[in-house]
Formats: sequence, C-alpha cells, structure tokens
Amino acid sequence: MQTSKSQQLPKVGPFRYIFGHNPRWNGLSGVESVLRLFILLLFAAFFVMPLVWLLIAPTRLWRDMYDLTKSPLEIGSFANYIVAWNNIAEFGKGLMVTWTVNSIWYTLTCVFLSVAVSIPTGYVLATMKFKGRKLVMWLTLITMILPGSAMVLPLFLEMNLLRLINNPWSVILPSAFAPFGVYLSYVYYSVSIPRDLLAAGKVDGCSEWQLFWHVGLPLGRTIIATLAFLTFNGAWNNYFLPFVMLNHKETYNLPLGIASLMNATAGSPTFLRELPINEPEKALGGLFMIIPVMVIFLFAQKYVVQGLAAGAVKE
Amino acid sequence: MAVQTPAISSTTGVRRRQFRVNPAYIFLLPYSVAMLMFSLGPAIYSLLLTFATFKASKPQFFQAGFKNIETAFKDPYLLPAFGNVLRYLVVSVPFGLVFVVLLALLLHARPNRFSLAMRTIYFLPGAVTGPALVMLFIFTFNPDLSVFRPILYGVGLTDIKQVINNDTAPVIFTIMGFFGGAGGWIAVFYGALQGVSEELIEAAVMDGCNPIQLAWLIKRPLIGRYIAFMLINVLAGNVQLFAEPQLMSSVTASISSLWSPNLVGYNWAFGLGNFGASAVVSVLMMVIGIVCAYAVIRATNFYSTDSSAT
Repeated sequence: MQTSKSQQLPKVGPFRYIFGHNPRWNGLSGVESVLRLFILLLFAAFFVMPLVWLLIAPTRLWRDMYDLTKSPLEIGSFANYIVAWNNIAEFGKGLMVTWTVNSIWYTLTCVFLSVAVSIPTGYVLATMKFKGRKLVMWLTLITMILPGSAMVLPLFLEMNLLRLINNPWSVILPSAFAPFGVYLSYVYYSVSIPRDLLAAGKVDGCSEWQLFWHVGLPLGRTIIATLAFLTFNGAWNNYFLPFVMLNHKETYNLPLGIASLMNATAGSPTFLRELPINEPEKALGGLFMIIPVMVIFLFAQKYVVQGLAAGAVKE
Repeated sequence: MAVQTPAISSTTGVRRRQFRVNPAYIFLLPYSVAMLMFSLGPAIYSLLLTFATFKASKPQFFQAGFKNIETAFKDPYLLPAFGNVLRYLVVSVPFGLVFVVLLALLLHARPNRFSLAMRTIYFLPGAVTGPALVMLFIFTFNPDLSVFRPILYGVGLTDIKQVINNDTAPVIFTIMGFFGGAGGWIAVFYGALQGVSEELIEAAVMDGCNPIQLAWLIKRPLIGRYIAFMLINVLAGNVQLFAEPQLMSSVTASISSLWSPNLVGYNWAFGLGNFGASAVVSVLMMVIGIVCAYAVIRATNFYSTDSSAT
C-alpha cells in the first residue's frame, strides 16, 4: 500500500476541505463538485441510515415502530435497551449469554490455530528449499479457491464418522484451516525477509526454528495481524458450517443464535406474539454480533484493506 | 515443535548432526494434516460420493454410475436455482462494479479528509454479515419499519411481500451484498489510485484533461488488475449464496426455500437424505471455484512471486 497522499496536501480550513478548490487537484468545475458531493452523500446515507436505525431500534417499543404516524428514526427511551436486554437474556434461560461466550471462544481458538499453522508454513515455503515445495504451493492455491460451501457436506460426513457432530471442534478445526493465510505470508516473506540475515544466522548455528522465532515472527507482525483479522471475521460470522454441525441450542454461536431469535416469532401474527422477542430485542441481538467486528474494522481498516487486496498484489 | 533453545548464542556454533529430517517438513506437518482433513480429503470424498449409493447409511462407492448426476439434473429445483443465481449475478456484478469504481474515483477526485471520512463510512457496514445482515434488511425492506419508509411508500410499496419475493430476490440480494461488500472494495481501489503520481495528474490537467478523461484515461488503467480480481471474487462468492435466501425464506416465507443451488444441495442431504445428489452440487461448486481460480492466476500472475524465492 502506498502512503496516504492526503498527508502531503496543504493545510486548509474544514470548509475548503469539503467545498474548496484545491489547486493541486483541480479539474472539477463548481457544478461537478456539487454533483460529486451529492452522490457521495447519497451513498453515505444508504450505508449509514440502516445502521443508525438499528442502534435506535432497542430504545423503542415494538408497537411504536409499526406506528406510521411516528418517524422511523424516532428515539425512544434508553431504558428500553435494558428492557430489551432482559427479554433476550431470559430467552431460553440465558441462551444469549451462552451464544456470546461460545462465539468468543470458537473465534479466538480459530484465530490462534490458523495463525499458528499458516504463518510458519508461509515462512517455510518462502525461505527453505525442499522436495515437494511446488506441490504444496499448488495445493495451497487449489484449496484456497475451493469454495467453503462445497466442503460442508463431506465435512459433515467426516465429522459424523469422527463422532464430532454437535461438538464445537467440528466447526473450529475446519474454519482454522487457512490456505489464504499461507499464501499471504508466503508472498510477504518471499519479499521482505533479508536472506543474508538468515544465511548469517545459519552460519552462527541457529536452528531453523530459532531463525523463525527470532527473525521471521517479529518481521511478520503485519501479516499476522491481517490474517488474524481475516480469520476473526470469518469465524465470528460463520453460519453455514455451524448450521449443519451444531444442532443443540447450547452449542450455537451468535450467528446461529441470531437466526433462531429471528425465527422465534417468525410467522406469528403481531397480535399473537407470546415471547417478548420483538423488533427491539432482535435488533439488540444483531448489535451483539455486529459491534465487535465494527470496532475492529474502525481500528484495523488498514489490515482489512490489505487482506482484501493481497490476492491482487504481487510486487 | 519442541526445539526451544533460549536466545541465539551466536559464537558457539554447535551443530547437531543426528538423524536430520529437513526441518521444513516438521514446520509443514500441521498444515499438511489440516489440508488433508479439512479440504483435499473432503473434496475427494465429494467426488467419490457423486458416484456412490448408500446402503444402511454406508456409502457403496462406484455403485451409482451416473445415477446421482441424472437425479440432480432431472430435479425440478436445481436448474431453476442456478437460473436464480445467474439472474442475481447479472444484476449484482455490473451494479457492484459500476458503483464501486464510480465511488472510488469520486473520492479520489479530491483526496482529502472528507473523502477519507466517506471511505470509512462506506466501509463500516462490512461488519454486518450473515444473519445480522439478513435481519437488518428484513427490517429495512419492511415498508412499515424501514428507515427508508417515505421512499418505499412513495413508490407504492406498502407490504413486505411486495418488496421481498422470488422475482425481486436478485435485486434484494444485490442491495444487501453492496451494502456489506462495497466499502471494502472501494477502499482497495482508493488505495490503488493513490499510486497515481501527482505530477502526472497535474500535467494532465494542465494539458486540458477534464475530470472524466482523467478518470478514464489515467486512473482506470491503474486499477484494472484490482477490478479483475474483484470481479472474480464477487462471481465466485455470489454463486455460493446460502445464508441470505435460507434466512429470508425461513423468516419471511416470501422467498423459495430452494432458491440457490446450495439450498437445493442442503435439502437433498439433510431433508431427503440423498447424499449422492447433494455431492453433485458440491462438485459443481468446486468446478465453478476452480474455473475462477484459473481466472485468478491469469489475472494476477500468482506464480510471478515464485521467482523471488530460491
């Protein structure tokens, strides 16, 4: 990634930043500037408004939400957040807490395993010579592209043989396999590792393991962060695989939990709702799933973008 | 991985020369096992299942011939499901591509703090995926609840079934996919555009290049490779649609529960117990994946990196 050019732009006031005519980037006429701004803000509204609605939803009462005389963005009372929380917390005797705890431990284990396996593998492919290296790289490329959804059925049969159905490991282990992480770290190490340093280390009697531990690992911090983020995102949001593997509500992760919250009152006409699981409760459940990822997105934007672009970058 | 000598002792130079396996293989062991168990193994197993029958829930390999494939293609739901996904691709790919490139170019037309703020705003919905995304859009597409209620009512949509149904599904999933996925790609393109040198742009502007020419002639070629990469990714990802139609259908009952090929495959295996036919869908998904992989290699020169590692 190139360094941000905005850091080099001349300092101007906030108004000129938005509307002003920066001479170094001119080429837009006044009308074009306004049109540009209009389009950008229009899309900003599309991206932001549903999220704002979701944040507001738990403050309202569900009957009010269907009241067409009230604005869809009317803010209710923040005390309703607590009411909604109590309602979800009661749902299935504290299932929501179980799902959250499950999600956290499934995800963290998955991140740890995928980093622990992929980073050394990428390092080895980039720095060592051995028979079969090409084969491993080809297989990495192939497995990287094999779609996860195509693996669900055979994995189910395999886990069934291993008697791991309804066991969290049936979800954690397959999700921790990260050929893309191997590819990322392979590309990274083949560009960035100083070969002379490795050679010098070997002459001085360092084992390969020590070289990896003292040179490779510290150098690979960025790539570890990128991979950790990608795995986190995938594991936290994993739905299809757990949907097939986990049938007991106590073993659900948050995505499965949210789905069952949504189904809890699905189809029942609004006047017949028995469970206190309505729009505010569902919205709050959704926020449980979204907010941790969003916080990471805010602070790790760089890594996310790197991860997305990595497949296209060669250098 | 047990060799844990404390720090590097640089001068002693002790070399152990007992049975030395190339340490590379020890490093590679966990990865190879995982690859066999969770990816290659299952892939080969699906291939085998495609030609297997089941007796007392034990697979009888090579007993089915082409029967499963025949069952799959004669099924009244599989081909329509592929048709649905195709309609979805026809809508989502051009729509996504046009607006992602447009927004990236517009942001980059004046790269300042406002543009960076917008980029972050476009990016944040990427955190919303799977069931959370479906839930958010079941609310957003319900005219009574929607934050866009005035617009939906304005165009005469007053009932959720008018908005979400089998005919509108490709558009619905396109909007959802764009909401969750566009920001990441916009940020990628924006980053790539920052590789354009300022001098080049200044010179072009001096020579009378208008902003559209600037975008098309100078900036677009620089992001061409990223565009190809995005296209392939979106294509490969969208074919696999599962969570969105599955949840939409179970919660709103207005979309077919066999809308996408993965749903049909799931239903064969777990609804009807026909693992053989279900494996056919898995294999089809793999074939599509591998075709896309080939396109990735062509578009990004995967192996050009290899020359640097000797």
